[in-house]
Amino acid sequence: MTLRTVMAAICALVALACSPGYEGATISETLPSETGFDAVTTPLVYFCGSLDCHGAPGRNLRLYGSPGRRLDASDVPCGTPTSQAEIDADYQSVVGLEPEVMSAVLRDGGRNPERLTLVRKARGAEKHTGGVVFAKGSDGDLCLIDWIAAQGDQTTVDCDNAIPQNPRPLCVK
Amino acid sequence: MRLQLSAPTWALGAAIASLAGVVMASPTESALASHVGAEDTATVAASSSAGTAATPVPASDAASAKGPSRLPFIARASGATTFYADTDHVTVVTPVATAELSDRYSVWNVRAEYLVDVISAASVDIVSTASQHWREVRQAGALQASYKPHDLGVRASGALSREPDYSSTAAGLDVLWDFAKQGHTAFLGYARDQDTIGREGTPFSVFSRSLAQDSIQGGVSLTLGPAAVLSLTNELILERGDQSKPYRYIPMFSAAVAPTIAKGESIDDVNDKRLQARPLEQLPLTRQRYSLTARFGYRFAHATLRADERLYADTWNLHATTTEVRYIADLSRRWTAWPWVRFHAQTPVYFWNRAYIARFGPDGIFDLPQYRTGDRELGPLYNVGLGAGASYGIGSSENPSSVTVQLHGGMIHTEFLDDLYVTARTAVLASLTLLGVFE
Repeated sequence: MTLRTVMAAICALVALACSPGYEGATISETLPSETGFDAVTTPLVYFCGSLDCHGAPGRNLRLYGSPGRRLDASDVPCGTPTSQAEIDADYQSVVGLEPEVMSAVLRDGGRNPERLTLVRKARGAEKHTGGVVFAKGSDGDLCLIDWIAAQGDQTTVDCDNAIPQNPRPLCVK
Repeated sequence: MRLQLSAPTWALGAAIASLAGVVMASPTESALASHVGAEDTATVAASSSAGTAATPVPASDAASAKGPSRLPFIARASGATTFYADTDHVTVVTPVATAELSDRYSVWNVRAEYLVDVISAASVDIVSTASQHWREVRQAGALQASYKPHDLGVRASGALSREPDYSSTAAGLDVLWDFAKQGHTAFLGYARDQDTIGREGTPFSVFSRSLAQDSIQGGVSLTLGPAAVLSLTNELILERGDQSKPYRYIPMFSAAVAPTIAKGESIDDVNDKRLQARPLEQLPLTRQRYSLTARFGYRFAHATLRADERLYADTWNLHATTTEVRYIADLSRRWTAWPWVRFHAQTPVYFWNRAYIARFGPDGIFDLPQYRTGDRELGPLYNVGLGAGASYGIGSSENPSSVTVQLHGGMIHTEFLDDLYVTARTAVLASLTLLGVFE
C-alpha cells in the first residue's frame, strides 16, 4: 500500500466525502441581447483580438474573428470574413465575464457602465496591458455602451466609425 | 495579488510562521497561534532552556536566574529570513525583524514586528489565463502590548498590511486571567480586521471591495503538573464582504462535456473544451468560521514534546483537521534540535466543483452556478509535512542562549483531490534566524 493510498484513506475517513459535487444554487442572469452585437464585434476584434492578446485561447475574454484567432481550424487570419459562429462565441465571452454586473448594468439601462471590468480596462481606468483601447466617449466606447443599453433594440451608434476609414485596415471589410 | 493563506491553508501558513518564528497572514488567523503559543511557549521554552524538569517558570525568571542583571528590563531582538518555493512556480522570500521589551516580572511587554513578503509567481492559475508571471511586495507591521500587574491583565494589538491590491488594518484586545494560584491562565479576546481588496495597478477609488472580519477568541492554558501544559483555544470568525478574487475567472462547461473533465485536466484541454463564457469567481458574501485548537506540552529531562491538534469548520461546509507534533531535544547547552511532522486534511466547500456547468438560453438568458471558485485551498486536499530545526547558542559560556542562531527547514507535500490543472504540489520551506536577548 503506497503512502498516497494511505493518505487518501485517511482523508476519506476524516473528510467523509472529499467532493460531493456542486451543491450550490444555479442562477439565471438576463444579459444584453446578441442583437446588434455583430457590429460591436468588428472594432472589438480589430483592436483586441490579435493572436498575442485576446485572441490567445487561454484568455478570460477570448475573441475570434477575421483579424485574429479563427474558430474554424480551416480558417486563417484575414481569410474568410468573421463568421456568425465567431460572433456568437465573442458575444458569450463578453457577456459571460461578469454576468451579475452585466445584468445589473442592463437593468439600469446602461448607466454606470464602468462597473464592468471590460469597460474600465477599455477606457484605461484600470490597468490594462493593451492600454487605452476605447477612451471614454470615443466611437468604440459609445458603440459598446450603446449595445448594452439598447436591450435588443436598434443601436444608435455606428460602430464602424471606431475603425480607421482611410486607409481601411486589412482583414476588416 | 494577495497570496492568500486562508484558514484551510493554516497548515501551510502556520508551517511558514513557525519556521520563521513570526506571525504571518491576517491577525485574526494568527490569533489562535499567538494566544496558545504565547503562554505555553514561554513556560515550556523556559524550562527547556533551563534544562530541568522542574515546574515551569516564567521566561523572565529563568532569564534573570542566569546571572547578574545589568538592565532593568529584558530586550529581545531577532532578524529572520524565510524562503518558500513550490512546484507550482511560486516563491516567497520574507525578511522579518522583531523587537520585544519586557520587565523582569512579566508585568508588561511590548513587541513590534515588521516583515516584507517578496512574492514571485508563475503558477498554473496564471499560466492558464495566458497572463504573465508577476512579482509583488507586501509590507506588514504589527504592534502588541500587554500589561498584567496581578492576576488580571490586558493585551492590545494592532497590525497593518499593505500591497498594491490589498490593504488590511486590524486591532484586537485580550483579557488575561491567571487563576488557581497562577497555575492556569484564561483569556478572552476580540479582534477586528478591515480589508480592502483591489486590482493591481488600479486605484481603490476605481475598483475595490470591502471585507470585514470580527473574531472572538477564548481559551485556557492549564498547568497539568510539574512538566505538562495543556491549552485549549476556541475561535469564531465572522466574515462579511465579497472576498472573491478579482483576477480569478472560472471555466464553464456544457452539461455534456463536464463529466468528461478529468482530475488534473490540462490547460490546453480545458481551454479547448470550455464554454466561451468564463465568469469571474463568486463566493458567498458571508462566512462563519470556527476552530478549536488543543496544544499539549510535556517536559522530559532533556527534551520537550509539543503536540497540536486543530479542528476547523465553517458555514461553507469546509471541515479540516491539522495535527503537528514537535520534539525539541536539548543536545547540549548550546545545541537544541527539533524534528516536526504535520498532517492536514480538509473537505471542499459546498459549492466546490471541478467542472462547473453553465448554459446560454434564448434572449440573453445565462444559467450559471451562483457560487463558483477555482481556489484550490477551498477544494478537497490533504498534505503532509516533515521538517527539522536546530538552534545554536553563540552567547557567552555563562549564558549561551543570549544569542542564538536558528535554522529551520521543511517540506510539505499537498495532494489536490479534485482539481483542474494540478493534482499535487510540493513546497520547501527554510528559515534562518538570529535572536538576541539583552538584559
